[in-house]
Amino acid sequence: MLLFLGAFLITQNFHNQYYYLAAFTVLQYIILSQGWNILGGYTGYVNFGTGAFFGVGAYTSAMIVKTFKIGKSAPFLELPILFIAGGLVAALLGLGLGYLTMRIKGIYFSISTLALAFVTVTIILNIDALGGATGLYIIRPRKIPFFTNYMEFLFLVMVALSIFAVAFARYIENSWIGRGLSAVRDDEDAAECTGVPVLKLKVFATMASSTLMGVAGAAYPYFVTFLEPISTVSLDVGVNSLAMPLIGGTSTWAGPLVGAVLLGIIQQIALVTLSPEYSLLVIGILLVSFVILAPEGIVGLFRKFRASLKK
Amino acid sequence: MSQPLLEVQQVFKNFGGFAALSGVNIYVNPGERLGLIGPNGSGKTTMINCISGLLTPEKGKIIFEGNDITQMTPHHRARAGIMRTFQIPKPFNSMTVVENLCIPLEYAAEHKTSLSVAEEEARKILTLIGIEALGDLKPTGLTQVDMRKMELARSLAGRPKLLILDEVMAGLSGSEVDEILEILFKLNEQGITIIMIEHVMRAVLGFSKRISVLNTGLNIAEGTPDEILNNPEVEKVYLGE
Amino acid sequence: MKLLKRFRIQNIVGFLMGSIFISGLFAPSVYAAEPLKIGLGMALTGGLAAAGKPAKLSIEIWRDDVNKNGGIMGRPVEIIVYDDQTKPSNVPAIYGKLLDVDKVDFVVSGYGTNLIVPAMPIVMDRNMVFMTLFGLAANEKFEYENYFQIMPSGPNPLTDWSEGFFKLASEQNPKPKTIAILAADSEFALNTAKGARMNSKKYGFEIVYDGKYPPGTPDFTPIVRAIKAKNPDIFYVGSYPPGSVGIVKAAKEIDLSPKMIGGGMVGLQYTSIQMNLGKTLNGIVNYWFWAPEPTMKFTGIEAFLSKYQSEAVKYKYDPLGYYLPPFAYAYVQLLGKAIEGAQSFEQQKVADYIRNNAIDTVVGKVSFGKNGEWAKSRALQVQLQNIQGNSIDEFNRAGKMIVLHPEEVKSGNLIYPFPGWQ
Repeated sequence: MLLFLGAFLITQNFHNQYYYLAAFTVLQYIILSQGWNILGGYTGYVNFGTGAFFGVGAYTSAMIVKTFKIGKSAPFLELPILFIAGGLVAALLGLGLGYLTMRIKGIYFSISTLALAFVTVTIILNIDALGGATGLYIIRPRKIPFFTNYMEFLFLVMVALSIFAVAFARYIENSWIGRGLSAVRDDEDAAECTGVPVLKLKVFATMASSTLMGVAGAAYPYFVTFLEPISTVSLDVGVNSLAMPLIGGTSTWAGPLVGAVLLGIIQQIALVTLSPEYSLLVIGILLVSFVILAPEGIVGLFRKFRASLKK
Repeated sequence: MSQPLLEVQQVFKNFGGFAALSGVNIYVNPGERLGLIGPNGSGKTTMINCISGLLTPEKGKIIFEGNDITQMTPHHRARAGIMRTFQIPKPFNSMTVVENLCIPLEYAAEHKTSLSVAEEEARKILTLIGIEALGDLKPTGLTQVDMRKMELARSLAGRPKLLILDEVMAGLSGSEVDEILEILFKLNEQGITIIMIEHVMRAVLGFSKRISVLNTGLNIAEGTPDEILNNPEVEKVYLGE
Repeated sequence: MKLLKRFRIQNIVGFLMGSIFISGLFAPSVYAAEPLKIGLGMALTGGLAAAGKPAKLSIEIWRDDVNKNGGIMGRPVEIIVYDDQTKPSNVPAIYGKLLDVDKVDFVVSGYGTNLIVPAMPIVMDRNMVFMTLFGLAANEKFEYENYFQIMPSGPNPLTDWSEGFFKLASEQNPKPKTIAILAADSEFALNTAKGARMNSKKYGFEIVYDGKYPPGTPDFTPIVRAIKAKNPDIFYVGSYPPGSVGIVKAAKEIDLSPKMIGGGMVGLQYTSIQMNLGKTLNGIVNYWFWAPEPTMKFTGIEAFLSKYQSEAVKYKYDPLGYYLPPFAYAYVQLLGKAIEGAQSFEQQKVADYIRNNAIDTVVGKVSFGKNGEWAKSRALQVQLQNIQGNSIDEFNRAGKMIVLHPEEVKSGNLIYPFPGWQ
């Protein structure tokens, strides 16, 4: 609550556009990381196809904007509708993924998700209504009441969504669903035999995960103005959504948050300090180091540090 | 009540070309202690997997409390009251022992109150088994015996009507075997039907009221422990002790 | 304990978020004469880096040229470039930083529609003049009056590309009847194909084949055979470098020899591909932007090219630089001249000057029309002729890339029909 109010006050008083634009991507990744972690961290299914769900959310949102032009009559309503729609369509895709891959585990699952990303790009490329290869223009509204410009409003909405994503992940983690997901992650057979409906939980996790990813994607068209399949359903999004929770820590909601904020900020800084090749190198090194040396991520390191202090 | 609690009727299970079970029949009455023995590869673990639902037989039926559960998912069977241990213990390694027990408590026994109440229940079960001191530890540091006891405790947490033990005595010392047996007798007295699959003869002969013998996926004998001990067929195929 | 954990996590988050804001407060340096800062994002890594890096080099050459002559209205030019990594999602933040943190005086675009469009909202919000580098009809949906495009496609971006090609075909006697159209399944190629269809109708050619291929197709023999079976008089192709080379080679191999071949193939203008194809290029008619013909010697182009070529060798960029580099020089050159012409640093005044004046650049006299496109198309149609071999000296002189269209820069005549593969 406080965070949201704080963010609102910022938009009223602080108008340096750059920070809103930079923050947008960081916030987008907070949502994507939390989403990824529900299936990846809590349930143990590593998804490389985040781009597919993100892209589905983005294109759904863009198509609704183009077809219905809600923005004119009900500007504040438009975004929620877009998010719900983007989230729903992504959830459907997630449902499909859940059922198609229900018998596939481990690395085979991960490879299937990679395939999903490619298939999605191909499908979008071949649907002319979605702009195909020539792309889709989504023009950001120039004005919106209460805000100096639309980007600040978008920022605020993203803050709200990030808060929701974190709260949602935290709720799941601490609930009986979360405990069931941990059982699935630890040992599916033992989970089944102790009464955990493994398939249902996996499908739930897939859908929850993909819904968040779709919601994150739904805001993207207004940010980037031009949607083109290859850069929207990109491996980039997939790798970041995976690296951020891994580096932050996958066992709890705080991990993806820390990972997204940290890595997101590093990437934004690297983008504008004239040495972008290094940002990719840095992320790569961080990822490998953490996976080998600190598999529980930053959160894990933090816990160990605190535990050693107690001794 | 003349109806058996569990019936395995003419069950066939193949893996590719290999016939693991070729028409096996087992039954156990409510409150009974049934022992299931046979040489390695005779199909005992396959049998348990069919009963618990991790495998579906090609032919035959599994009947529990008069209901045909052959097509039922494993987690439904767990909720219906069938719990099993695993030959190689399968703990949930990311959770403490207490948390391990909360899973069947919340899912199989459907104990949907709050977590803290479930944890209390879990600790009570641990006390029953005698491992309450391990409650807040993670399974990765436990000894073999303690892991077996945890598996046992976790099965109990599911409030089973039928408990199936898959070689729970393997590798345990004499006194450890006695510890477990004592717990098992207690549980049976409380009304839990138990099927014990075992290689450790002392345990299964001493524990079971009735024993069924499998070899290469077929029943070859059935009877009281004494009858089985003196059965020449059993002696012939089962060169273990 | 859980409360403590939450509190600490919130602290970390707060600290990290705070550091975004703090990190932006770089201390500004102090200059003698206030520099004129021009900012842009450019593809220095990623898919378009092979074009983006030479573009950056060309911009820097311009900056040095201008500063040698005292800068612009006395102010030294400073260029700030950030790598957009060929990712549209990076563009908004880059232009945000340039405008709000680096406080640049002017911005120009990156290379390509994908990287131009994401910057439009920010640029439009501040009413900035926006010189852009090679985007196809990128302003059509915005209709922003201060947008200007240096690519010489002309006011009808779809058809102007190929207009010359079709006009040439229609002037031949006997007039060709049938045409096959093939395009890569990508933005630019599909657009030229669209234009080709429109032009086919306009000039009365019957389309006997109209297909597209997925980018990355390794073997064009089947497609080219299918086209040969239709025996078209004209073969119009919209393709990107790997496809352009593949299609030409496949056509040679199975001897698909229509009366006219070429059109919208990207890549034939690159030195490395020219050296690869050598004589095989002879007879192909294709869109072109600049060729070393006597009719194309605009003011300053030769001086620029010699500076570019001496630097390009060091970095292993396209050694001749006839395709994008002159235009990368021209789009900033034009901006600089407009500032001086308007005698003002105000966005609107500079934009108005550009819109209302024809300005001399290294790519000729440029004047803009509707939507910021060139008032008159200067998309050349060039026929490759007289190429004897594969050495670079075949391609760095006049007489090899004959300009056929438009009329005012024509440097030779079309050899028709296509003389066959060599």
